[in-house]
Amino acid sequence: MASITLDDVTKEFGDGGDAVVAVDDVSLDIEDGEFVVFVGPSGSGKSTLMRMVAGLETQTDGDVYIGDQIVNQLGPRARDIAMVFQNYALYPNMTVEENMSFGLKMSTELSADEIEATVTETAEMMGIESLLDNTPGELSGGQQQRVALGRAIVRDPNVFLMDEPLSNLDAKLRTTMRTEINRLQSDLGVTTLYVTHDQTEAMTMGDRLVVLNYGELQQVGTPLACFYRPANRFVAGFIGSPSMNFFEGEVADGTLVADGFEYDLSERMRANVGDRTAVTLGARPEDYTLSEAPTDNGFEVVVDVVEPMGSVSYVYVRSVAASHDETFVVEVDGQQPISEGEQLHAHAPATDVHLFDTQTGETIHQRELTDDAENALSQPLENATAGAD
Amino acid sequence: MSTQTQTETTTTSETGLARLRALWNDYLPYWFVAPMVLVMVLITFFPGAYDLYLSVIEEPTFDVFAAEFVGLSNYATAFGRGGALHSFIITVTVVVSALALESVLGFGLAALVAGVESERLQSFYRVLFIVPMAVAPVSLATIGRIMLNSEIGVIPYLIEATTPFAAPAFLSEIPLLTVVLLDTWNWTPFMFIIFYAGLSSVPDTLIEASKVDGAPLWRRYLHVIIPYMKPVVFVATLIRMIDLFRTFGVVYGLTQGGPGTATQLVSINIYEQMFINNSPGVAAAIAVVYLVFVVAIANIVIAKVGFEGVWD
Repeated sequence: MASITLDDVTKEFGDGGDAVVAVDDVSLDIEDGEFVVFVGPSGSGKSTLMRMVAGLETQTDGDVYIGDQIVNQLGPRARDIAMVFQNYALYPNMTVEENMSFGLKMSTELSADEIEATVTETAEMMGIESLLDNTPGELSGGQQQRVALGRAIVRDPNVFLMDEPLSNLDAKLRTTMRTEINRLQSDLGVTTLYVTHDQTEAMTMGDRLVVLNYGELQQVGTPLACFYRPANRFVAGFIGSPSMNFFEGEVADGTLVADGFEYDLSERMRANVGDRTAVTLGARPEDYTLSEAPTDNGFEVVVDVVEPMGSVSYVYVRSVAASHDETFVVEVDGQQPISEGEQLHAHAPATDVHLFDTQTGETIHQRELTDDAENALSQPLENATAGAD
Repeated sequence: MSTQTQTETTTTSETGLARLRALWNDYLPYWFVAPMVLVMVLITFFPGAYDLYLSVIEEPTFDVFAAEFVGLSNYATAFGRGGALHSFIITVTVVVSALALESVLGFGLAALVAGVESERLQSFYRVLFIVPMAVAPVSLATIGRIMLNSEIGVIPYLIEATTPFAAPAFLSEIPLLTVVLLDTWNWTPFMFIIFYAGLSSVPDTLIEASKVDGAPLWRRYLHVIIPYMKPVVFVATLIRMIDLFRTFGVVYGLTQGGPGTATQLVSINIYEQMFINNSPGVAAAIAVVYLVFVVAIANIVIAKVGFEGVWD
């Protein structure tokens, strides 16, 4: 087991003028035993960053440490890591048992008996002991996934690297495996890097999130910190589902004037905004309420589409006063009767909205939280399994 | 409209037409394959049968009733005076050694080229290594004769200039090895290009998984890459093997089967029996045995190794 340190790591693909910067000057400390999730959209560099830890890519610049050792010059073989690939990458010509024992045969001095014992033990832990003589082609997707995890675990490596391991599974199986990976990680206590673009996985699995976009580090923090205290507009929009709504506007005399509504800023907001004028207001769908009666600081909207999800409904509404026909989304109680075409009043309380600098995207005002919630932000998700589904 | 009037007026010819149409429709698939079957009969089945017929008669004639049936005497001549057994041994030696050399070299080159980082350099090597395959057999043989000539050849010259050894007389001292090497030069590109395509089909993640598992390069090839490529390796080797059994032009152009009968492949033996010794019966007899021999070997290989790979 080991900590991982990335020190000013940069990766460029191609050379000269048309080089593409995949990872831009990222520094990061990952503690021993920590479960860190790299999250970001396609092309954000999250996979490249992990592949540099694996030794499958060599960084253009910067140092990678595993434990106290600089591993820049070491190949994957010497780094004592195990990796789970998106498409599992099981050896199709080998049985499950051979797949699981291959790494042990290649990189340890264990005797055949010891290898067999270790493989059997891990297979029992993963519930795949009955599949040991099958080839990967005979297994279902979920079983292949278990074998791929088993192949990583059996090595007892310093670091687990998981590259979108659940994205090829169906939704139900994904939820189950998510819980299982969480449980395994906390049982084994092995430092784990997990790459995903799925923000549900990001929120529920990691001790910490590393949010990336265009190869740049956007924010590093607990999932709740990224959710409630986003460092910038990108993180605010990426974490949370459905995404936060953003309204660009101008601040004049303590009022934010956006296309379609005006919003009176609170004392604290005004202080945070300072003398900026181009400000973006961000509010999550669940922080809006829709009511028939006009509200303070609210505005009139017309309902475009209603998506009932059961316990909640996502209502796509459009400001009546707006000059465009873009909608934003409001989450309401599933039992609140709302029909398309209805005119209502939308309201987001001043305690719940975020403000961003429109030019830089930086957060200039964070929402308010209860004291308990505030304390919880800094705590890594202990026992994440309990609430995983 | 016109068919309608026809039905009313000409009932008799209409029934004839209908019968024809029914005949056409009922046997539709057979009509479609008929031209191909005809061609196959004309160019494969008929010559084969004619070959068999020639091998059991004394003098070639189309008149089956006038032909003098001699039983297996042509076969006896072929394996006695005709030296058929010797040429079978020569052929098998050439096939086995050339196949082994071409497979190993082809795979090695493919692996090297696939590992080249620069795309442009990779396609340059690809083109470069395919060139020998594009040379016509007779030209290749002529080039070979010139390059190996002990007076003016560049290869003996280079050997003598750069090594302490005297150059062997390629075409008289080591003719069989020369034939094998020339064929290797000619046909390694074929194996190269197929193996190269096969290597490109191995998923990157599989190779990365084996790197992470700590497999050194040679084990990665042995345990992961080659097993994955097994169908490609098998098909390429099978095609090349069957093709090697048919080799004629390059070897005939290079040595005419000589010196003596040192490089007399079965194909050369058949040619010489037919056109030099004027013994069509003997030539036909060797050809019949050879056909059975090659078909049997190909089927044994298919049965033993099999097409089934990892792709099913």
